Amino acid sequence: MNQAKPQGTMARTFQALKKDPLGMTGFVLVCLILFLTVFAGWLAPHDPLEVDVHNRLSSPSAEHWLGTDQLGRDILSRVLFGGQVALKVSLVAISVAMGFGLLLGMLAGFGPRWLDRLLVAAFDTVRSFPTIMFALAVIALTGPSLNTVIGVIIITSIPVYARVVRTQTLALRERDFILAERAMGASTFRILRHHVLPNIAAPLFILASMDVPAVVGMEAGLSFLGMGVSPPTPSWGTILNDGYSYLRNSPWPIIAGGLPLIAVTLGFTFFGESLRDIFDPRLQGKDR
Amino acid sequence: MTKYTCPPVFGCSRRDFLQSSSLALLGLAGSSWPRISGAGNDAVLHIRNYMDLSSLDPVSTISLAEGLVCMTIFQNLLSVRPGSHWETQLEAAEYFAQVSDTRYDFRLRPGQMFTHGYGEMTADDVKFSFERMVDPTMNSINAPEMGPFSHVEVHDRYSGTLVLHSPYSAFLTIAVAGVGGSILSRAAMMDVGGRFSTQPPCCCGPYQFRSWAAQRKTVLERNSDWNGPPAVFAEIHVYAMPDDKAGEMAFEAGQLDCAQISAEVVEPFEQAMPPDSNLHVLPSGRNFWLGMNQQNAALTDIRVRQAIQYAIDVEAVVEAAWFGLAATSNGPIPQGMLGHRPQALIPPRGDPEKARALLKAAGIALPLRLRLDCTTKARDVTAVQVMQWSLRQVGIEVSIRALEPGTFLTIGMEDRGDQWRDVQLFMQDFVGAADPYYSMTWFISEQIGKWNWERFSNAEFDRLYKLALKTSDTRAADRMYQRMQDLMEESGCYRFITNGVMPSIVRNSIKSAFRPDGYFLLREFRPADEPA
Amino acid sequence: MTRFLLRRLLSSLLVLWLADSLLFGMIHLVPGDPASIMLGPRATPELKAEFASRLSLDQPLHIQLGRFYAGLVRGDLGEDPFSNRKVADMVLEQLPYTLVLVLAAIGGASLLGIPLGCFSAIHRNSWLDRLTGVMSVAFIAIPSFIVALYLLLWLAVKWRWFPAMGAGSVGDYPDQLHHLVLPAIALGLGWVGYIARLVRASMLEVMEENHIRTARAFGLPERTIIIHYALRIAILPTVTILGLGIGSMLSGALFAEIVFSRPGIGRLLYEAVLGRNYPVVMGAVLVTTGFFVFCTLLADTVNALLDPRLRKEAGE
Repeated sequence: MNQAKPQGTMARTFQALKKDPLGMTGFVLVCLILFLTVFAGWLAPHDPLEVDVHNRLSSPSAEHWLGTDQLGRDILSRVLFGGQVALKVSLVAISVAMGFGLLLGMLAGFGPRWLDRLLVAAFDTVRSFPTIMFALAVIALTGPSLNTVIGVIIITSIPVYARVVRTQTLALRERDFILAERAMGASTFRILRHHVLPNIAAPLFILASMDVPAVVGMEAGLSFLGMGVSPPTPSWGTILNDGYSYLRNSPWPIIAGGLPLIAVTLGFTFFGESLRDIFDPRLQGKDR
Repeated sequence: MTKYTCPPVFGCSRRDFLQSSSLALLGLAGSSWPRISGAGNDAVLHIRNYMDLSSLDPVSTISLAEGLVCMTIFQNLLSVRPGSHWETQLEAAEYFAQVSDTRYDFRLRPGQMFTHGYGEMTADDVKFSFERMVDPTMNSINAPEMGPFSHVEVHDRYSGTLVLHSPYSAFLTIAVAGVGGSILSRAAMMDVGGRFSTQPPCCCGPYQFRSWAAQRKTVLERNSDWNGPPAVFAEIHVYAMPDDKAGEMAFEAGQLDCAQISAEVVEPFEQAMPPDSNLHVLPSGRNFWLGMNQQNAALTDIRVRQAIQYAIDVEAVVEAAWFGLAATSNGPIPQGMLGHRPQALIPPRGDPEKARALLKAAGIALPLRLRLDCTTKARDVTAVQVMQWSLRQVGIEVSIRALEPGTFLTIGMEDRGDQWRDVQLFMQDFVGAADPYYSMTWFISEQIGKWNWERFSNAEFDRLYKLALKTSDTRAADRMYQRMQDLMEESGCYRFITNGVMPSIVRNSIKSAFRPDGYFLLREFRPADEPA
Repeated sequence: MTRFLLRRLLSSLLVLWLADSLLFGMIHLVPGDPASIMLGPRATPELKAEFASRLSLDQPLHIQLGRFYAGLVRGDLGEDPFSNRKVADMVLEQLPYTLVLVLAAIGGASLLGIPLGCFSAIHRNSWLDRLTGVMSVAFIAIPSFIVALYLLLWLAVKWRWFPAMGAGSVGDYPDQLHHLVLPAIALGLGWVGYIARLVRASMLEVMEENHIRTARAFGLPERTIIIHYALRIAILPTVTILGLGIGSMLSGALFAEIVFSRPGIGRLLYEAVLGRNYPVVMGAVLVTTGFFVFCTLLADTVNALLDPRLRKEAGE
């Protein structure tokens, strides 16, 4: 099933993507955003921290393509650099959370009954924390920083992944093909690796790709409550939050912070769904 | 500009002023009250309050949000007069005068009835209300505002004398005309066991309390038994709305008649004014400043602190964070108050050249790295980012640590371990009150490690502080308070930013009234069509 | 089934106890004291000490926690030190506002999202699928406070179709419903897309499974197949997510409550946390965690009812 060589996989992926316009759009969007943020340092027309109070909240002009914020800083440059924060927060947080979630979820779903109960209790405990209170406590204890924000998001996201993985694993566990493998004496690891993982990867991938915007949104929410990244670091969350405060003065911060967020969401969701279709073993070889 | 001009109000001594004003008002008290036109008779006023109430009992109110309601449903001997200077006017008293440094005589207007059948207000009620504020068993939150108040001597049914342990220049404005001076009915308070929270047992005044719903609103209604000047609104609905944006939207949606708004919307509102509305931009009495911990190793050299003072362009900070609406400040004491300093020693624009020279003279290796703590409030975060930018221009790299407000309040406190040593720069703001002593009280040496995080300590300052509190010579007090602010600035521990601003938007159908620090005086609100 | 429920109930109680104890410890670790926060510099050392002793803050943490649980058993959640009101009353008077809001939001989102997801799955890769996809996903991206802001700006301020603040007059249900619409949209809008995409994904997967193929082979009508066979299985992960979602929304409703000046548990908790009003924080936390645990329990039970395989595994 998974014996295809890497270059073969790549080629097949592209072949499949070409046939799926939404997936292709998603892929292009993701690439574009990655490019823009990675090269923000070269692309940004201004220093994102350069203050020019007398030119604050101006509309787009030749000098400032997306206008300026309440301190007269160039919004375009801040959006570009803010993308780095957004991507760092979401990619790091999601991959770590997904990794742990996958591991713990499969353990719970496939492991002994007592371990399952213990883990589920742990997931539910963490999930039941009111996010605001939890964030406040963590931030107060470790000091406000980008890493704290990432940490808060990881801890609150692990149980989401783990629960979904566990539910899927439980459902798979009694399926005929897994029972058959077991009867043939396959090790638990082998079963997890070759049968459970490919099967649960699909919903998980969707969840993860859709979590990119959720995480950026959470960062925005934390900034709204004053618990986001430390100023003057630009992030899409703080730009949106500024947009909320200064909506009447200028609509541009909300537009400038919101559009990349929508682009990221669309990009990752459709690209993710497309990938899932390509890699889902049950959908392989089917005429689309 | 001459340095020691006094605002006209303080041209005479406080005592003379009070007597003359009380006499002038005495004439009014006996005459018939002007009746308002029928048009406003069933009018309802909808107003935003910036937070919810937690208690209306004068011993346990915690904020001016509660003061707004208290001052509307209870009577005080004196009340704050609307306007731009702190003055008092007669309210429940028909006569009030200072007879010595520590004694104040009063006589109540007869016939002021408490609601719910608790009868007429007497001097004994005044005695009860004032003395419970300083009764140690009450653990009153507001006891400090009463200062050295001791007790009340009752002479007859209506008159008595307020007695202080020692002279207290802020007694009238802060204690008598403040929330702590609200007069409650002794009988009513006995019936509810001596305390209440959000359900007053009885009221006195043109408006009475009807209901309160947590996080929603407080409803006040016209007190039909009131025999004084009648309430002009049939009902007043006071909404608990902590978010400025929410308040602005609700006003625009036509659901509020009156709301405090944030500084940044003043300009857009001016350009596209909501129909039939008016903006009022008043100075506030707060004190915003950048503090420097002079005992932190990086800041022990006064030249470094001075360099920071000179490096910061206060005009740019105020322009950015207050949208240019607030004036730059010359110290904790705001304009319109005794002791206000007409000019700061260091120009608000600063002087980056001088800052660089000072750093060079101090032999500091640049870039100098410092930390600036502030709260996460949007306005503070904006302000410190401008400071950060100004400081960077002279070679000081500041990292900002924005802390949740509750956490921020602990950083300089000695009862929280040794973290106060690490405090370097911080942006702080304190609320002001009706008297200059209140704005200065946090900077005396006794406050080091409590609220004095700069650890500023100056013997002359401490001496003047005590002296000014006791003197009744306003000219002398004015000079003392100005000198104290010079001393603060000279220490290099402070860069004064602003006294803030309080913008409000009010429907044209309402004639609003404000305290000198921009807070609403609900009782003085009138429908606009009322004949003068 | 009874054994399954009983066991889940017990573990729910365990979770509740664990979460509340942890949060109790955590909130006490956060620096700040109620007197200084509420009163600023007016908080004298005497006052601070008075508050500390009234809140038992001068006691070791485990004693404080013990007192909290002892009070809880008696049905007493303590008093707000500032207003002297009973915390239980304060929490219970705010709870209905948030519950109604959350149920309206998630109910509305499900009513829209599940059919949208099914529709997309059935008409996979049609332009309608793509359009609903783009629309629903775009809405996930916008934070709820921004959605709330624009709803206010257009529907309440510009056109005045809906009120801009509050929760309506007490006892007047049409008025309360009128006040509920905008906050519920603000809270639920992002969930429409989320639910639709989840349902679509699991539907696609389920449609390929053997028993669906079998059902097709038997010539059962497509409608029956989709509703009775496919959706029943496909909804499982969605139900799990919804259960978790409703539970965590109780504190997430905060944004809508702030922007629309609505009373509710989110605002109560938020303001209590900022003010370090410990008894109120714990009262509100107890309710939110309790509600979360209840929703999880509900989601698991629904899952078990829909999919006997899970029930067999998990309990019997």
